[in-house]
Amino acid sequence: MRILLVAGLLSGLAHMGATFQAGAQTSTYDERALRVDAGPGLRIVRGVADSVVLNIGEFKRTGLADLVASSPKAVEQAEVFEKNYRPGSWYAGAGIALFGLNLGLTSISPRPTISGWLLPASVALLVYGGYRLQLAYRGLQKAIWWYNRDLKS
Amino acid sequence: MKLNLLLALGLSALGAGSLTAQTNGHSSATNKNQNGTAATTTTQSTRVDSATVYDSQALRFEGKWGSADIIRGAKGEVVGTVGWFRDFDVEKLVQSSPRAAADARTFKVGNFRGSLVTTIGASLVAIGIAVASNNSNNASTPVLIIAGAGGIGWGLNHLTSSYAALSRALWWYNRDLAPR
Repeated sequence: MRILLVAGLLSGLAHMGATFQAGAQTSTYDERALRVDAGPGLRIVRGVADSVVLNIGEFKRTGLADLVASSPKAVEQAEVFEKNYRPGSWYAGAGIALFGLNLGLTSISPRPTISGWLLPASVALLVYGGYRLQLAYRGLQKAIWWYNRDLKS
Repeated sequence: MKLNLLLALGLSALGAGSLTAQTNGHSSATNKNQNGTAATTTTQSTRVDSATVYDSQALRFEGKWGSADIIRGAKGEVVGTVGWFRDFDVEKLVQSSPRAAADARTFKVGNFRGSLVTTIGASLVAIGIAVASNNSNNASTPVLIIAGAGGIGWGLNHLTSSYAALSRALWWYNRDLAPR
């Protein structure tokens, strides 16, 4: 009888301990896990409270690698993001500017000879910038995925 | 007394073992919410279980030229593609998590509206440029281009918001993968 009582107590303690640990893990994710959000611009928010921890500007260094420093694989992907995001933004921005210039020149008569090159140049810049931005966003999503994953390990 | 203690430890280990097996049986995403008592005997094994579930089940998305692949797990299995006029059902994919499903619905509505208005706006801009390129001094040209640009801006804003909702949906889905 005493054996059963002790066994029941020990089993219950083990059960309570494991439940407590799993609950603590969920609350870690609730408090610390990151995701990408769109406010005015791109930003990273943390936890169920959606507290903004990083605003990502188009033309400046973002600090994503520092944010996910606790996860080596996330840092690797954050560097992919850092490497491509600013160049992509610059190229795409230049493409949009040239496209606008091209639109402006269409109303001038006679049209300047340079305007013949503006449209293909702007499209090329937009495509290349878009390609670099796409690489950057993939890196960003992977970085956050790995960071959140390592919160659970 | 020692024998009693050993027997007690043995029985409690058996109890813990059965609880662990229960946890493994409930580790898939679809039945996560049904089991409120996932259990293991050590922090390490709980965390390994959790990381294993996350590695195989957790979702993310990766953009590619106007659409996005929804990817599962560390191996990068593509489970569907969302984007302009794609009708992959994200809500069904994340239905095991009610909050994720709600955000998936927001994504679906925003994505459709954003895609539609952006496409109309781009078409108006293209028509405006084509008219202007023909050197015809048509008064409608600036109206077309400005209206088109406005449509693109409004549509892209909706698309951005919808992808934020998708990100939130996947966050909640991944969150509810945790053994609980």
